[in-house]
Amino acid sequence: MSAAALVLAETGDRLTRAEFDIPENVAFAIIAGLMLFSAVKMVTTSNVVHAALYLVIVLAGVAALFILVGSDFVGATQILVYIGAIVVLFLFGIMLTRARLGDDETVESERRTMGVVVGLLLFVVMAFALIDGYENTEIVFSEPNPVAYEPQSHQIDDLPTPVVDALGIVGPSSDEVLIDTPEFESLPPELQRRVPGAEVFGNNKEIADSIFSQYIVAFEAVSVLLLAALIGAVVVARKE
Amino acid sequence: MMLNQFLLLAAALFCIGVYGVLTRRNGVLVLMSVELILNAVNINLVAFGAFRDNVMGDVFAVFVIAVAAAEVGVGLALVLLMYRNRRSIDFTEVDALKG
Amino acid sequence: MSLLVLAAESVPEVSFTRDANWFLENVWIVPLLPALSFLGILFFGKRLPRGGAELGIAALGLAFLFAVVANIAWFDHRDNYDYRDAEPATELDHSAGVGDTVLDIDGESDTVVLAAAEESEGGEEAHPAVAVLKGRTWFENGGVAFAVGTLLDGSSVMMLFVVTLISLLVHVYSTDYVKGDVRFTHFFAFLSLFSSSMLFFVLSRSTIQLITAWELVGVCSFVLIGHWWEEKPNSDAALKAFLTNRVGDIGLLVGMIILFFAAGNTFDIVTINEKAVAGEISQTALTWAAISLTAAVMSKSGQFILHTWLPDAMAGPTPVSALIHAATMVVAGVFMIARLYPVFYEGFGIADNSVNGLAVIGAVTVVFGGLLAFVQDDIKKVLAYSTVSQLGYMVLALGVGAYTAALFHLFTHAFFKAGLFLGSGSVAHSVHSFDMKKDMGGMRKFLPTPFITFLICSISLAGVFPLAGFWSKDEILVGTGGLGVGADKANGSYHLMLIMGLVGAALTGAYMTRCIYLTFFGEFRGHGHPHESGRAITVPLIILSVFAVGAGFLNLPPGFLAGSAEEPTGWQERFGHFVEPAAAYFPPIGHAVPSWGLAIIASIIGLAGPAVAYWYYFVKVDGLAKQTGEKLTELPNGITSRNAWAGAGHAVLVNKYYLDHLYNDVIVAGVKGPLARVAYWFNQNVLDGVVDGAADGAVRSGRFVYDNIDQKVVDGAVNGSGFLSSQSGQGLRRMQTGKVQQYAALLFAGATILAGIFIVVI
Repeated sequence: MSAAALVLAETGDRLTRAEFDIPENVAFAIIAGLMLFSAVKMVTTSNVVHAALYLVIVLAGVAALFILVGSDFVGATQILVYIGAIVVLFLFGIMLTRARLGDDETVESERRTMGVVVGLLLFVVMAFALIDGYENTEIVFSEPNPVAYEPQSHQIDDLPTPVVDALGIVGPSSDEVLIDTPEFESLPPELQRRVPGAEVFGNNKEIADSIFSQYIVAFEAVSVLLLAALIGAVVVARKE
Repeated sequence: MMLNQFLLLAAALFCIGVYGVLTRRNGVLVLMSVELILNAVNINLVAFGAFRDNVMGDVFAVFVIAVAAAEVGVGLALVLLMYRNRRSIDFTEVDALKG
Repeated sequence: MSLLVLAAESVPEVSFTRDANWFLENVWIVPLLPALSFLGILFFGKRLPRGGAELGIAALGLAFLFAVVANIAWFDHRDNYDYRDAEPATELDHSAGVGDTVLDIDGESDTVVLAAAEESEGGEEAHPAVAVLKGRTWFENGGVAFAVGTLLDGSSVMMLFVVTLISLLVHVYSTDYVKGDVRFTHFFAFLSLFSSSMLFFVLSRSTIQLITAWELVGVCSFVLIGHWWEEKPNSDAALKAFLTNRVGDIGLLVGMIILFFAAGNTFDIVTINEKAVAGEISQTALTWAAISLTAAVMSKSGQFILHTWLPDAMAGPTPVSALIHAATMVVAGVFMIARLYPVFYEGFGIADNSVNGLAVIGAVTVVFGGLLAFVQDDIKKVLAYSTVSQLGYMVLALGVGAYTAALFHLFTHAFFKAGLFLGSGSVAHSVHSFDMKKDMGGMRKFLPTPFITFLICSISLAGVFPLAGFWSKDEILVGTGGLGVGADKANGSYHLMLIMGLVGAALTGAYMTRCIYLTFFGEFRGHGHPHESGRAITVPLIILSVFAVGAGFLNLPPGFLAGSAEEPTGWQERFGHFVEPAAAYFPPIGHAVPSWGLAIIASIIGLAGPAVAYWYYFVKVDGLAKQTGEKLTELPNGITSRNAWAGAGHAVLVNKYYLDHLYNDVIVAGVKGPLARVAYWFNQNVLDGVVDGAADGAVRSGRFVYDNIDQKVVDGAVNGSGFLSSQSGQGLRRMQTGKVQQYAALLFAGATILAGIFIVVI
């Protein structure tokens, strides 16, 4: 679920998915702009440490995009692994190789033209192919993630007003009221998740299921690869 | 949202990464640019996953992250080795392949 | 359910229980201990003060104690276990074998007790004779459960005792024998693994486990025989042992596969046996399985025509030889027959027969192996051929249905043969040679302890009353049921086997007499001053000779001095009582009635051989040697030099029946030779003709071409192209800058252009 959608849900308005599009597109534009800017700065700055920090922005932007399309798990992994581990590794690499901490003109090669030509050529070809192939293709988001709920009693005080209104509950605010499963299911999805005791599932469960069943071989292969890389890194980098 | 928003952004990041790989002389910066390329791929994976409404893209994005971690580990080890041997990590100086 | 069908009269039901004795249920610890010591020695051995030997000895010591306790527990279990008290763990699935049932109870380990009755003779009340099964399903595939676990019954618990005891003594002995060896630690590691494999083998409950352990034993023997691999004969011997065994292993695999399908997709030994006994497996399948497995036995247990690796295996260190010949490796084949006895019993139709493949192989091996022992100068080779001959007895006994006699001979043989090998090692250790004729003689003066123990073990081996060998050999001879002995209770009338067995007995005594004379009597022919070995060597010798004397009393024939053939008392038939399964997975074999007449005749024949040899060596040769003052090992004008036939026979024996020639020169060369000839003919007639013709034509046309085309056209073209490539190379060289990033740029550009082409075209 996107952050924007949650913000809107707080207001209690029942918006359709299409109506979310505008804020999401705005968020996308901001994130994408930031990412492109940072990426360009990263490959052009002559300060090595700044480059690493720009990389952090790009990586965070990627994570934000993941969350925007509802892949919370990958977004979290992206932040943990990339920003938490890989960037730190880069900083270590910078320090261990005694790079100059300030501006260092030597990091930039004289072959910029070649890079620009190849990069632009690549982009033109890819952009042409993408626009040719996926023009007008829209990402249709599925219904919000499922909500799990056990029937239970609530003090009316604890319930959000939109929920009380939607269920037509009347009575003193200190009364207890039981919301059973049919009543819960009659609520719109945005309100369901605001009922105390309701649990929202992302697609984490599905990811976990498929990693450990359908993609178990790939998973094991990756784990072996990580081990091999670990050993390889030790062997390569150790002193004789 | 349009699928192409993501794909074109990813393509742009990819090309910026390629530019970085081609022009940077510092080994660590080259590795960073490679990370940019890998992230572009990840955006594609996740975007297509959302488009097709299944978790396959997410799963493979996680795998790519794991592989990227391995790549950085080995890559930095190589850069360190190079630094130890040559007191420099300038890629333009590495021309043992010269014919 | 075969068990119920078969045992319906004497045993009311099969019961399952979880409450067998702890030591019987957890007998898997026994092979585990040496396996752990193997790993321990391998990883830490070199850092230990005694190079890992102490680990091996400790593990084997513990395993031996465990085995002893397990044996005692088994005695109790065999006689007093009342399956009726046992709480049924589950209902028995009557459509499945007992082995299956234990496995599919949600993968948990359960102990299954197979209850059956003894042959109720004379209205005696039935005792439950039970095997303790314990196991787990390792994995299941295609509806077939691969089980691992232990199958413990009398025969395996007996083997546990033998293997752990011999192995322990060999470990102790080795601490002195291989002291200072470059691969001391390595040696002990594999000694432990060898013992562990054999223990694993005797406890196997499925044929898969059996095969695994069988191969493990083979690998260990390979490693240990080739322990001193720097010398070529040793590594050759190791290879020969391994490769000869591979021949038999094919038979093992084929046999096990036949059994797997014939018994309804099961690897479970008990199930296979039950079905074989109950006639649920077709006779054809059983016969072929038995034949295939016999091939495996022939290679592993050194039966005639595949025995050739065994004497060569003497290249290994002597403790290894002792271990191979007494407790591990070669008895694996015999034990495998015993384990799958119903397959052989039904497959070869042992009951009520007078000849079958197994018995014939055994009988031939007894005599031929014994004859070969006569012409050996190497003391260990004498013993090796003796082992071949004695293994022939065991296979013969199994072939004629004398199950208990075979295992009893295995039991007694283990002690005296280990004693003989270790004794010979002790002698050889002191003179640094194994050659009896060149370097030994008169050793009794230098090595009193090895002499006495060697003598005792030899007498036991020769089967002289009342030492261990006498009892076991006598039982085998009686068990043949030939020439009317053993009354009608034997499994058939194997006349030929009885005669061969008697001949073998005479031979055994004779070659051992020769061996003892050459080694311990006469004048010392070697160099230096031999000295008595240390305690680590003599103590195992003494222990083994004690067993060589006393082991026979464990299975006195029924009716000996007291009691009667029908009602054994005291020590009579104790061994058979505890070792022979009387359960539904064991065939209803007959038990021959002991015969005083045969015992006396066998003793006379068995003593006649040594007597002749004694006369020849101790009287004639020794007398002549004293007369002439020469160091003689045989009469200068013996019968072999006077009689052409005897000479020819001697030559046959010296050349080991030409079997090695057969394998190397006839079979290998026979395959190689014709192929080479065909290739040569093809080469001479076809290829040469083509080549010659082509060459002739080539020469003619070549001259023409040279004159006209080459000098004018080609040279110009060649020079021109050379110039061109040189120039283009110079040009392209500039692209090979060695700059990685430039290469990467080209890579990306190339990929982009290709992708662009694809997009536009497609």
